Amino acid sequence: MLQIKIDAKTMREFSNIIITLVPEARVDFRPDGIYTKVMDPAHVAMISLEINRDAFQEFSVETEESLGLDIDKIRNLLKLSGPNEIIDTKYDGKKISYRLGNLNVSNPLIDPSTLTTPKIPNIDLPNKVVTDISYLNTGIRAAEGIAEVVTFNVKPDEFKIFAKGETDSETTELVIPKTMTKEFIYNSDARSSFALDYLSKFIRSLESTQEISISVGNDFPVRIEASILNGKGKVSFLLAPRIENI
Amino acid sequence: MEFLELAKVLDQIENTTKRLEMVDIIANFLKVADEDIMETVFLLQGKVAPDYEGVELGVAEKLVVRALATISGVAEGKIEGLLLKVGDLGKVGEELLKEKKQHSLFSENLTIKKVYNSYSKMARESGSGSQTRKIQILQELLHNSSPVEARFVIRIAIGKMRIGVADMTLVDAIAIAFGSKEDQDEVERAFNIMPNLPEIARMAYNGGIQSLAGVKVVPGVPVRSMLAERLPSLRDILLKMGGVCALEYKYDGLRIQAHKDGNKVTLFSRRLENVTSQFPDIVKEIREKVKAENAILDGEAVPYNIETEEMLPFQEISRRRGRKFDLLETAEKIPVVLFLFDCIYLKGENLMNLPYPQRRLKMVNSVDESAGLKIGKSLIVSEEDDAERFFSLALEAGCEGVVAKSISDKSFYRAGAREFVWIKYKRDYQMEMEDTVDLVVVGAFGGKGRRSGGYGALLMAVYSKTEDKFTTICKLGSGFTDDQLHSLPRMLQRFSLKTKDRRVDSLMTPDYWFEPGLVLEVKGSEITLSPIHTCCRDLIKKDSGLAIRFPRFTGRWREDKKPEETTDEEEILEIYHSQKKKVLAENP
Repeated sequence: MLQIKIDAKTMREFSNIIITLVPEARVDFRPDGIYTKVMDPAHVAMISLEINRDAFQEFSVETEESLGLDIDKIRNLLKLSGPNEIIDTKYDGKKISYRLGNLNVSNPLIDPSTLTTPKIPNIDLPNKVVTDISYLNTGIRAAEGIAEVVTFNVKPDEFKIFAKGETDSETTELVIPKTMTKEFIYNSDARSSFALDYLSKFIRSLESTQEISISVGNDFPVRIEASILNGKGKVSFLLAPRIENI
Repeated sequence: MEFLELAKVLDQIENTTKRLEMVDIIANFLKVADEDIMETVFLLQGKVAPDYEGVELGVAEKLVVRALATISGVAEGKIEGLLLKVGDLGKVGEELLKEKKQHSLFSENLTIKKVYNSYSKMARESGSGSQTRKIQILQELLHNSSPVEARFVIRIAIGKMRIGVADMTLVDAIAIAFGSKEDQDEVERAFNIMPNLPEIARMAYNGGIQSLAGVKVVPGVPVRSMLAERLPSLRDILLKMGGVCALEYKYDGLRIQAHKDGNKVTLFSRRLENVTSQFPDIVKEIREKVKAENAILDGEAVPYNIETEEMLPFQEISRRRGRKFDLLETAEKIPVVLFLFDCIYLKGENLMNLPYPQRRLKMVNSVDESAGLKIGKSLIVSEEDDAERFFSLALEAGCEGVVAKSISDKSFYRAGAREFVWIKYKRDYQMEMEDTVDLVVVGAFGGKGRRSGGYGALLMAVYSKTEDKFTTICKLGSGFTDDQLHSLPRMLQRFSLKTKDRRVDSLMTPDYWFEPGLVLEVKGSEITLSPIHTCCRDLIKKDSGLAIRFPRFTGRWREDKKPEETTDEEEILEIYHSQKKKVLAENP
């Protein structure tokens, strides 16, 4: 038995983050909160997501359960709800059901063994920048207008997000000087490029995040970590690089 | 085993044109495939299931392009451009992966089982969201592919293997891998009655070639169709057959192998695809009219006009393909008749090793003929004249010719074989009628089914100036709207007669006679010789007239024309000769 109450806004953020990579996910319900790890089929990106039990209006999980959830179906339900409405979720051992006001919806579960849960590789990244998410957002949105790839560049005193269009004369560049960061760990110059498609989908899914931590290496994956839901949850995003000659 | 090994073999096969070399390459690989034997043979064929199970991968090129874009980091538009240039998406994928820009977090080597299972999963995906899930599976495969693996992963997905491993090449390879070259016949025998090479390979791997003797004909699994040889004349055919044989109408439709197993009926095409869902009407007839509990029957499904009792052009049947939702309606509008001509299996007994006359007799005795299920016309002949006459009748009836069948003691059903036990004879030319003709109504046949109470078909005639007579040329039942059909009795009422008009020359006796008066414009497919119509009788050939094949009312009532102004016999003769000249010019 499992019963949790969650507001639609929180549920929306949870599902938006996962759907950036997959439409179905194995979610572990534990007494202290929910946990999930997903990876896109091309194995380019991974997300690890945790939500503490404090983020829920009611959270009653007696024994740990791993359930295969159809995230698309949850999103369909969310379309019917206002942001502050409470969704009452129950699992009776067979199916999962959601109650929203006087609406009851139940969904079959996906066999969790058919859903791959990736092991998040332990990657050492030399540089780390903690800054306001809005800077990253602006840099990415600017790049999206002209390119499919964006490059992160770390120098001793700045973090730069830039992109190049079809021609050399078409570029975007956003510089975040060390002084505008909350934390700036520099070990070596680094430069890595990433598919914008993955990055922008992920950044956009973070509705309740203020600060973001970006760890960058040289032609190496990027790790983006953020606290969500006012500190009641956290997310970690790992994205493999594109090797481009720019 | 790793898929890379198989990809290398596929690459070798692609680079040879010598069949024997291909057989050796495959045989050597089958020897080491071990537990992956079935999956290996499926992938060599580019399939996930035998054709008769009707499981298709059906991945659109566009989906592959999208998956490739994600994997390689190259834009979709650019990939489509490359495809136009290279023409082979497999090669495009291979090149893209060689210069792959997008790295991944980790990857694992593909195994033959993993690849096969992924395709199998893709093939079974359906409904909403299935496209997305198919892309995901494909992305995962491509992500783990080396460039050469990607070439074949893509080609198998889109169903374009391009390397042409023919069934018989695999048959030979299985024989050599698990026996010797001499065992080819045994493997082929098994393949002919169970066209599932992966399963045959598995049996041979597990139990040796001798275990294939255990393969039996089973309702539900199609037997490869027996095929006919060809000879240029009926005289040659009679000679070849030792002076006597059975002639059957060669119906121009879709070859159907009907399997009945209790209440379950399955229909297979000549290519052994499961076509059951396209012919609910035939399924019903087989279920109700075949008396035996189980049977496998061979026949030809032909679109049929129940009014004129005439066959319609084969193209009508193809309208049924791909239509899922209005099949019952189509079945009503374009009824199909299944003409049975052979019986392979009956009441639990394999009849393939009985001579043809015995098989046919058993078939006739186990089927109740009905409107939708008939026994094909057949005649035992020993004289060339009789054969010619039967051939003309077949053409007249809308068939493409005749099939001669040996009636000797050795006339077995040889699955998959094309031998002189069956010999087909068709017209050596196909003619085309370009102009419309104006024909006059001289009689009518009572309608059936939807047309009951009115006329089903009209007996049409042309005018012979020299003899001042109206000679018949066709039965006309196609091309009318319901309204037009409805108004026919009223329009023809004033021409109604109790008996045949003295100026009408007809060998047929319709249900109603009319004085020649109402003229209709008609388009046909060609003019053929006919033993039953009187137009130009004896002019081309003794005891034959001319008839219009597949006549159709154009919708124009020629009330402006008097019956004597209809198309003249001489014009018909001219059309007949000109179409023949045209055909000869095209096929000298």
